[in-house]
Amino acid sequence: MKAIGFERHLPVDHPEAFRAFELPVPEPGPHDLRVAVEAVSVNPVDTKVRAPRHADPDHPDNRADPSPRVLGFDALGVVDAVGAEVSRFEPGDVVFYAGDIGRPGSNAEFQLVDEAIVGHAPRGVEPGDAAALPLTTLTAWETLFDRLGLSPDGADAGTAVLLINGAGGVGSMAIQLARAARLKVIATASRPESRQWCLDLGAAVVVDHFGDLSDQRAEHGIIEVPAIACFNDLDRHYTAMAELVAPQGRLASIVGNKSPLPFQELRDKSVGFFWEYMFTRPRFDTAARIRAGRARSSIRSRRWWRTAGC
Amino acid sequence: MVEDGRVLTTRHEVLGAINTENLRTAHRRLEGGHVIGKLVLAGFDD
Repeated sequence: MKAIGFERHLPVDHPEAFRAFELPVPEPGPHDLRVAVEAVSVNPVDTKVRAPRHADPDHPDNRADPSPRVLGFDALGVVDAVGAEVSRFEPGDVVFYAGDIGRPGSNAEFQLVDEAIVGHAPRGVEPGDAAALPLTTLTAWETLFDRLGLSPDGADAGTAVLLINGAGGVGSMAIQLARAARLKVIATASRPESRQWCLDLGAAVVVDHFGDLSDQRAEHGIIEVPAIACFNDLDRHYTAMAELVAPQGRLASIVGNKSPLPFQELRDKSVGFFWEYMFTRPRFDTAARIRAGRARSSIRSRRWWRTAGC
Repeated sequence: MVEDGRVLTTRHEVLGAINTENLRTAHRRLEGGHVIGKLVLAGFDD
Protein backbone atom coordinates (compact mmCIF):
# COMPACT_ATOMS: atom_id res chain seq x y z
CA MET A 1 0.00 0.00 0.00
CA LYS A 2 1.00 3.61 -0.48
CA ALA A 3 1.91 5.59 2.62
CA ILE A 4 3.46 9.03 3.13
CA GLY A 5 5.97 9.25 5.94
CA PHE A 6 9.53 10.11 6.91
CA GLU A 7 12.66 8.41 8.20
CA ARG A 8 14.12 11.56 9.75
CA HIS A 9 12.52 14.56 11.47
CA LEU A 10 13.31 17.37 9.02
CA PRO A 11 12.34 20.99 8.25
CA VAL A 12 9.25 21.28 6.07
CA ASP A 13 11.17 22.24 2.90
CA HIS A 14 13.79 19.48 3.14
CA PRO A 15 13.37 17.11 0.14
CA GLU A 16 13.09 14.09 2.45
CA ALA A 17 10.70 15.64 4.98
CA PHE A 18 7.85 13.86 3.15
CA ARG A 19 8.41 10.60 1.26
CA ALA A 20 6.19 8.02 -0.38
CA PHE A 21 6.68 4.43 0.81
CA GLU A 22 5.28 1.09 -0.32
CA LEU A 23 4.36 -0.72 2.91
CA PRO A 24 2.60 -4.04 3.65
CA VAL A 25 -1.15 -3.81 4.27
CA PRO A 26 -1.48 -4.16 8.08
CA GLU A 27 -3.44 -7.00 9.74
CA PRO A 28 -6.07 -5.92 12.29
CA GLY A 29 -5.70 -6.90 15.96
CA PRO A 30 -8.76 -8.20 17.88
CA HIS A 31 -10.31 -4.74 18.46
CA ASP A 32 -9.07 -3.08 15.29
CA LEU A 33 -10.78 -1.92 12.18
CA ARG A 34 -8.75 -1.80 8.99
CA VAL A 35 -9.91 1.31 7.17
CA ALA A 36 -9.40 2.15 3.50
CA VAL A 37 -8.64 5.85 3.92
CA GLU A 38 -10.48 8.25 1.59
CA ALA A 39 -9.79 11.68 3.08
CA VAL A 40 -7.64 13.20 5.82
CA SER A 41 -7.24 16.60 7.40
CA VAL A 42 -3.99 18.04 8.69
CA ASN A 43 -3.63 19.39 12.23
CA PRO A 44 -0.92 21.37 14.00
CA VAL A 45 -0.07 18.18 15.93
CA ASP A 46 1.13 16.66 12.63
CA THR A 47 3.68 19.44 12.23
CA LYS A 48 4.79 19.16 15.87
CA VAL A 49 5.41 15.41 15.61
CA ARG A 50 7.26 15.87 12.29
CA ALA A 51 9.41 18.80 13.43
CA PRO A 52 13.21 18.37 13.70
CA ARG A 53 14.59 17.44 17.14
CA HIS A 54 18.03 18.79 16.27
CA ALA A 55 19.38 21.41 13.84
CA ASP A 56 21.66 18.87 12.14
CA PRO A 57 19.50 16.70 9.82
CA ASP A 58 21.87 13.74 10.34
CA HIS A 59 21.82 13.94 14.14
CA PRO A 60 20.61 10.67 15.76
CA ASP A 61 17.84 12.61 17.57
CA ASN A 62 16.25 13.16 14.17
CA ARG A 63 15.81 9.44 13.45
CA ALA A 64 12.13 8.55 13.21
CA ASP A 65 10.78 5.87 15.54
CA PRO A 66 9.23 3.79 14.16
CA SER A 67 10.77 4.30 10.74
CA PRO A 68 9.21 5.22 8.46
CA ARG A 69 6.86 7.20 10.64
CA VAL A 70 3.45 7.71 9.01
CA LEU A 71 1.54 10.78 10.23
CA GLY A 72 -2.10 11.76 9.87
CA PHE A 73 -4.67 11.82 12.67
CA ASP A 74 -8.05 12.77 11.25
CA ALA A 75 -9.46 10.45 8.64
CA LEU A 76 -12.61 9.28 6.92
CA GLY A 77 -12.70 5.91 5.19
CA VAL A 78 -14.48 2.63 4.59
CA VAL A 79 -14.02 -0.35 6.91
CA ASP A 80 -12.15 -2.98 4.90
CA ALA A 81 -11.64 -5.70 7.56
CA VAL A 82 -12.39 -6.11 11.27
CA GLY A 83 -10.67 -7.91 14.18
CA ALA A 84 -12.27 -10.97 15.79
CA GLU A 85 -13.72 -9.06 18.75
CA VAL A 86 -15.00 -5.96 16.96
CA SER A 87 -18.68 -5.49 17.79
CA ARG A 88 -19.85 -2.13 16.47
CA PHE A 89 -18.62 -2.09 12.88
CA GLU A 90 -18.51 -4.29 9.84
CA PRO A 91 -16.80 -4.12 6.44
CA GLY A 92 -18.36 -1.44 4.27
CA ASP A 93 -19.17 0.96 7.13
CA VAL A 94 -18.10 4.56 6.50
CA VAL A 95 -16.24 5.80 9.58
CA PHE A 96 -14.23 8.75 10.84
CA TYR A 97 -11.88 9.22 13.76
CA ALA A 98 -9.05 11.30 15.20
CA GLY A 99 -6.72 8.32 15.56
CA ASP A 100 -4.11 7.43 18.12
CA ILE A 101 -0.84 9.32 18.44
CA GLY A 102 0.97 6.06 19.25
CA ARG A 103 0.07 4.18 16.04
CA PRO A 104 0.75 4.59 12.30
CA GLY A 105 -1.35 7.43 10.92
CA SER A 106 -3.93 8.06 8.24
CA ASN A 107 -1.61 9.21 5.45
CA ALA A 108 -1.77 5.68 4.05
CA GLU A 109 -4.15 3.68 1.88
CA PHE A 110 -5.00 1.43 4.86
CA GLN A 111 -4.88 2.20 8.57
CA LEU A 112 -5.63 0.21 11.72
CA VAL A 113 -7.68 1.90 14.43
CA ASP A 114 -9.26 0.59 17.66
CA GLU A 115 -13.03 0.58 17.28
CA ALA A 116 -13.36 2.32 20.67
CA ILE A 117 -12.21 5.63 19.18
CA VAL A 118 -14.16 5.42 15.91
CA GLY A 119 -17.51 6.91 14.97
CA HIS A 120 -19.86 6.29 12.06
CA ALA A 121 -19.41 9.13 9.60
CA PRO A 122 -22.24 11.64 9.35
CA ARG A 123 -24.55 10.96 6.42
CA GLY A 124 -24.94 13.41 3.58
CA VAL A 125 -21.56 15.05 4.17
CA GLU A 126 -18.65 15.02 1.68
CA PRO A 127 -15.74 12.76 2.78
CA GLY A 128 -13.35 15.71 3.07
CA ASP A 129 -15.89 17.78 4.98
CA ALA A 130 -16.25 14.97 7.53
CA ALA A 131 -12.49 14.30 7.69
CA ALA A 132 -12.04 17.93 8.77
CA LEU A 133 -13.96 17.31 11.97
CA PRO A 134 -12.87 14.65 14.49
CA LEU A 135 -9.75 15.98 16.24
CA THR A 136 -10.84 19.59 16.43
CA THR A 137 -14.41 18.71 17.40
CA LEU A 138 -13.25 16.56 20.30
CA THR A 139 -10.77 19.23 21.36
CA ALA A 140 -13.36 22.01 21.15
CA TRP A 141 -15.98 19.93 22.99
CA GLU A 142 -13.61 18.97 25.80
CA THR A 143 -12.35 22.56 26.12
CA LEU A 144 -15.81 24.12 26.45
CA PHE A 145 -17.71 21.52 28.39
CA ASP A 146 -15.12 19.43 30.31
CA ARG A 147 -12.39 21.99 31.05
CA LEU A 148 -14.29 25.31 31.18
CA GLY A 149 -17.23 23.51 32.79
CA LEU A 150 -19.89 25.12 30.60
CA SER A 151 -23.16 23.35 29.94
CA PRO A 152 -23.62 21.84 26.45
CA ASP A 153 -27.41 21.82 26.76
CA GLY A 154 -28.23 25.49 27.22
CA ALA A 155 -28.15 25.73 31.05
CA ASP A 156 -25.52 28.48 30.74
CA ALA A 157 -27.38 30.38 28.00
CA GLY A 158 -26.14 33.94 27.66
CA THR A 159 -22.85 33.30 29.49
CA ALA A 160 -19.91 34.93 27.70
CA VAL A 161 -17.04 32.78 26.49
CA LEU A 162 -13.92 34.28 24.88
CA LEU A 163 -12.28 32.11 22.21
CA ILE A 164 -8.77 33.26 21.29
CA ASN A 165 -8.01 32.45 17.65
CA GLY A 166 -11.59 31.76 16.64
CA ALA A 167 -10.83 31.14 12.95
CA GLY A 168 -8.38 28.24 13.39
CA GLY A 169 -9.34 24.58 13.24
CA VAL A 170 -10.39 24.22 16.89
CA GLY A 171 -11.73 27.76 17.18
CA SER A 172 -13.99 27.29 14.14
CA MET A 173 -15.64 24.31 15.81
CA ALA A 174 -15.67 25.84 19.30
CA ILE A 175 -17.61 28.86 18.00
CA GLN A 176 -20.29 26.56 16.60
CA LEU A 177 -20.53 24.29 19.66
CA ALA A 178 -20.69 27.33 21.95
CA ARG A 179 -23.38 28.93 19.83
CA ALA A 180 -25.36 25.65 19.85
CA ALA A 181 -25.07 25.72 23.67
CA ARG A 182 -26.53 29.26 23.54
CA LEU A 183 -23.40 30.87 24.98
CA LYS A 184 -22.43 34.41 24.01
CA VAL A 185 -19.38 33.86 21.80
CA ILE A 186 -16.63 36.47 21.71
CA ALA A 187 -14.00 35.33 19.20
CA THR A 188 -10.67 36.86 18.31
CA ALA A 189 -9.38 37.23 14.74
CA SER A 190 -7.01 39.69 13.14
CA ARG A 191 -7.70 39.72 9.40
CA PRO A 192 -10.89 40.68 7.53
CA GLU A 193 -11.30 37.18 6.08
CA SER A 194 -10.83 35.39 9.42
CA ARG A 195 -13.08 37.92 11.14
CA GLN A 196 -15.89 37.27 8.65
CA TRP A 197 -15.38 33.50 9.01
CA CYS A 198 -15.94 33.80 12.79
CA LEU A 199 -19.10 35.87 12.31
CA ASP A 200 -20.44 33.42 9.74
CA LEU A 201 -19.94 30.53 12.18
CA GLY A 202 -21.92 32.30 14.90
CA ALA A 203 -19.65 34.58 16.92
CA ALA A 204 -21.61 37.47 18.47
CA VAL A 205 -18.54 39.72 18.71
CA VAL A 206 -15.12 39.51 17.03
CA VAL A 207 -12.14 41.37 18.48
CA ASP A 208 -8.57 41.65 17.22
CA HIS A 209 -6.13 39.49 19.20
CA PHE A 210 -3.23 41.65 18.05
CA GLY A 211 -4.91 44.76 19.48
CA ASP A 212 -5.39 45.65 23.14
CA LEU A 213 -8.14 43.32 24.35
CA SER A 214 -8.98 45.52 27.35
CA ASP A 215 -9.72 48.56 25.18
CA GLN A 216 -11.84 46.48 22.83
CA ARG A 217 -13.67 45.01 25.79
CA ALA A 218 -14.81 48.48 26.83
CA GLU A 219 -15.84 49.25 23.26
CA HIS A 220 -18.13 46.19 23.17
CA GLY A 221 -19.47 46.65 26.71
CA ILE A 222 -17.90 43.42 27.96
CA ILE A 223 -17.15 43.67 31.67
CA GLU A 224 -15.68 40.30 32.61
CA VAL A 225 -15.62 36.93 30.97
CA PRO A 226 -16.20 33.83 33.12
CA ALA A 227 -14.67 31.42 30.60
CA ILE A 228 -11.72 31.95 28.25
CA ALA A 229 -10.10 29.45 25.90
CA CYS A 230 -6.76 29.95 24.20
CA PHE A 231 -6.28 28.16 20.88
CA ASN A 232 -3.01 29.84 19.86
CA ASP A 233 0.15 31.39 21.39
CA LEU A 234 -0.55 31.14 25.11
CA ASP A 235 2.59 33.13 26.01
CA ARG A 236 1.31 36.11 24.07
CA HIS A 237 -2.25 36.03 25.37
CA TYR A 238 -1.89 34.87 28.97
CA THR A 239 -1.69 38.35 30.53
CA ALA A 240 -4.88 39.48 28.80
CA MET A 241 -6.61 36.24 29.78
CA ALA A 242 -5.67 36.71 33.46
CA GLU A 243 -6.90 40.31 33.35
CA LEU A 244 -10.19 39.69 31.51
CA VAL A 245 -11.32 36.58 33.38
CA ALA A 246 -14.10 37.06 35.94
CA PRO A 247 -13.54 36.17 39.61
CA GLN A 248 -13.96 32.39 40.07
CA GLY A 249 -13.82 31.97 36.31
CA ARG A 250 -11.87 29.43 34.29
CA LEU A 251 -9.12 29.57 31.71
CA ALA A 252 -8.23 26.73 29.33
CA SER A 253 -5.50 26.27 26.77
CA ILE A 254 -4.83 23.70 24.08
CA VAL A 255 -1.34 25.10 23.41
CA GLY A 256 1.59 24.90 25.79
CA ASN A 257 3.65 27.81 27.11
CA LYS A 258 7.26 28.39 26.10
CA SER A 259 8.10 30.62 29.10
CA PRO A 260 6.95 30.30 32.71
CA LEU A 261 3.53 31.90 33.29
CA PRO A 262 2.77 34.03 36.39
CA PHE A 263 0.04 31.84 37.86
CA GLN A 264 -0.15 33.89 41.08
CA GLU A 265 -2.06 36.51 39.07
CA LEU A 266 -5.02 34.12 39.14
CA ARG A 267 -4.98 33.64 42.90
CA ASP A 268 -6.85 36.75 44.09
CA LYS A 269 -9.68 35.95 41.71
CA SER A 270 -9.66 32.20 42.54
CA VAL A 271 -9.43 31.44 38.84
CA GLY A 272 -8.81 27.90 37.60
CA PHE A 273 -6.46 27.08 34.73
CA PHE A 274 -7.07 23.91 32.72
CA TRP A 275 -5.08 22.18 30.00
CA GLU A 276 -6.82 20.40 27.16
CA TYR A 277 -5.11 17.61 25.21
CA MET A 278 -7.31 15.46 23.03
CA PHE A 279 -5.04 12.43 23.26
CA THR A 280 -5.29 12.25 27.07
CA ARG A 281 -8.30 9.94 26.95
CA PRO A 282 -7.10 7.50 24.28
CA ARG A 283 -3.62 7.44 25.80
CA PHE A 284 -4.60 6.81 29.40
CA ASP A 285 -7.64 4.66 28.70
CA THR A 286 -5.40 2.43 26.63
CA ALA A 287 -2.87 2.24 29.44
CA ALA A 288 -5.64 1.32 31.88
CA ARG A 289 -6.84 -1.41 29.56
CA ILE A 290 -3.39 -2.92 29.31
CA ARG A 291 -2.78 -2.67 33.06
CA ALA A 292 -6.06 -4.33 33.82
CA GLY A 293 -5.10 -7.12 31.46
CA ARG A 294 -8.48 -7.12 29.88
CA ALA A 295 -9.51 -6.39 26.42
CA ARG A 296 -12.04 -3.70 26.75
CA SER A 297 -13.06 -0.77 28.88
CA SER A 298 -14.13 1.43 26.08
CA ILE A 299 -17.62 2.35 27.21
CA ARG A 300 -16.37 5.69 28.38
CA SER A 301 -14.59 6.31 25.13
CA ARG A 302 -17.63 5.31 23.15
CA ARG A 303 -19.88 7.51 25.20
CA TRP A 304 -17.37 10.28 24.78
CA TRP A 305 -17.66 9.97 21.03
CA ARG A 306 -21.42 9.90 21.10
CA THR A 307 -21.63 12.77 23.54
CA ALA A 308 -19.55 14.82 21.17
CA GLY A 309 -22.37 14.35 18.70
CA CYS A 310 -20.21 13.11 15.85
CA MET B 1 -25.19 17.77 15.13
CA VAL B 2 -23.48 17.61 11.75
CA GLU B 3 -26.30 15.66 10.11
CA ASP B 4 -28.98 18.05 11.35
CA GLY B 5 -26.95 21.09 10.31
CA ARG B 6 -26.39 22.57 13.78
CA VAL B 7 -22.66 22.21 13.14
CA LEU B 8 -21.11 22.88 9.73
CA THR B 9 -17.84 21.49 8.47
CA THR B 10 -14.80 23.60 9.25
CA ARG B 11 -13.13 22.46 6.01
CA HIS B 12 -11.80 25.62 4.38
CA GLU B 13 -9.80 24.14 1.51
CA VAL B 14 -9.21 20.83 -0.24
CA LEU B 15 -5.58 20.77 -1.34
CA GLY B 16 -5.85 17.69 -3.59
CA ALA B 17 -4.70 14.06 -3.29
CA ILE B 18 -2.93 12.57 -0.26
CA ASN B 19 0.63 12.80 -1.58
CA THR B 20 4.01 14.19 -0.51
CA GLU B 21 3.66 17.61 -2.12
CA ASN B 22 0.15 18.34 -0.84
CA LEU B 23 1.12 17.23 2.67
CA ARG B 24 4.17 19.48 2.47
CA THR B 25 1.95 22.40 1.45
CA ALA B 26 -0.42 21.75 4.37
CA HIS B 27 2.43 21.49 6.90
CA ARG B 28 4.09 24.63 5.55
CA ARG B 29 0.89 26.62 5.86
CA LEU B 30 0.13 25.38 9.37
CA GLU B 31 3.69 26.17 10.47
CA GLY B 32 3.26 29.68 9.03
CA GLY B 33 0.08 30.33 11.05
CA HIS B 34 -3.01 32.25 9.89
CA VAL B 35 -4.74 29.12 8.55
CA ILE B 36 -8.52 29.50 8.52
CA GLY B 37 -10.51 26.36 9.37
CA LYS B 38 -9.17 23.01 8.21
CA LEU B 39 -7.00 21.87 5.30
CA VAL B 40 -8.16 18.60 3.74
CA LEU B 41 -6.59 16.07 1.36
CA ALA B 42 -8.63 13.39 -0.38
CA GLY B 43 -7.83 10.26 -2.42
CA PHE B 44 -4.50 8.74 -3.46
CA ASP B 45 -2.67 9.19 -6.75
CA ASP B 46 -3.01 6.26 -9.18
